[in-house]
Amino acid sequence: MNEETESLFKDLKSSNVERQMEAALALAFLLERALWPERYDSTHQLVLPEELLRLRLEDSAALENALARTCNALKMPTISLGAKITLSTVLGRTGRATCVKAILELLESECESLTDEAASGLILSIVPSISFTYPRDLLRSSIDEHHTVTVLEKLADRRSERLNDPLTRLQSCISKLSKPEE
Amino acid sequence: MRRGFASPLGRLGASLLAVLLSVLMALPAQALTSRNPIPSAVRVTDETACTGVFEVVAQPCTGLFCAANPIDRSDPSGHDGTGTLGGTLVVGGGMSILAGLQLPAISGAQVWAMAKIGVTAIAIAATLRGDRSTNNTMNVMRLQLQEGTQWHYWSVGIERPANPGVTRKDVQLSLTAMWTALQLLSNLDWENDNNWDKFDTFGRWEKQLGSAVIRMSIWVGTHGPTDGSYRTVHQEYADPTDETTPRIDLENVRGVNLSR
Repeated sequence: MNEETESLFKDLKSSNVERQMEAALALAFLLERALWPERYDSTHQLVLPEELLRLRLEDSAALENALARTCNALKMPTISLGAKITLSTVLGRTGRATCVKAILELLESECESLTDEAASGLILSIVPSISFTYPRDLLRSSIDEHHTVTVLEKLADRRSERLNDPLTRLQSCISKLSKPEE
Repeated sequence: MRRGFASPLGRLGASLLAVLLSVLMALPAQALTSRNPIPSAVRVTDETACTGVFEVVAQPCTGLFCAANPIDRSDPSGHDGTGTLGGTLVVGGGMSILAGLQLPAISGAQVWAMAKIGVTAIAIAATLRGDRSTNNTMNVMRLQLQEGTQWHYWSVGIERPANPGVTRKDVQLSLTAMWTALQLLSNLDWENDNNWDKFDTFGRWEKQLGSAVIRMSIWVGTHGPTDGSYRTVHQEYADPTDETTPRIDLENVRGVNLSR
């Protein structure tokens, strides 16, 4: 992995939360550009400084490595929840069960401490892609392993207007997932 | 094969129209009809001349038409609206950028006439650009139209200074721009490649997407503020009961937004 990307991962572990957040956002956009290289997105131009706009992950091996390290970052206690949610926003869209598993684990471990807004963000990072996430077996086993159904029920008990729609959607998606595929 | 704006020609069209609409929205009305200088509110990055990359620097939202319904300008909430104009897009101090044109009937020639104005505006604006606005003191949100994990039809960033951050009206205006651009694209004939009706899924969802735009606008008008991290704030699906259908995503990218 190139030096600049290594530097972002280093900043992600910084004791300065603001630096963590900026590194997480840059990493999220770097991954986005590597995952969907054909997309043009003016937001990247708004957010990333010149040196990071030029930055690319060299090849598919570098991408896989960056995704694995990003998933691992969601487990690190020294990284702020805000930075983790930032990273989850891109991980959830990858269509990779390994990435969704990391988010489900975060949702389980932080269930009590998540604000409604944060919980909503985590859930919405999964909802649109869960029907397109593979391998299905790993996705289903991750939902079981991280007690996602129970976690969602706990969140539903908050009776939060902010959470109601995202929760209902994810519960519906999981319900569809458990049915045999046609 | 299913096509989307993510195809090369589609990207070109989306880029061009995004530039056009953004420039038009940032201009005073007279800039569209005369050779008056364009205010430095419009900045363009170095790549602009080639790729259509643009940045619109924040302007006060005073006078903007920011009704809850960005489709036909009706305003079910009864706030902020200036009346229904029957398919005419109004943005920026009552300026009508498509005055007199019923959107479904707009011709390719009319679109190109607008595009020429836009290109001229961009060229002038490029000479007035200041420093890049990219820095970590600006708040940013992003509005996207996507489908599943692969189809990506539209994306635009909304940038504002940290105080007040991106406002609800900013997002509603961006929804208007997105919808109008999609409508314009649907009437363009990019070598028969990107006509709306040729998207076997997209054309099918046109009406539903219009409803989704309205729902998103109403949601934005009643929610906030966000917290500071990058996350999806809200999604509206073409079919509200099916998460595999095209959707509008509103994301908080940086800073606290939707405070007002």
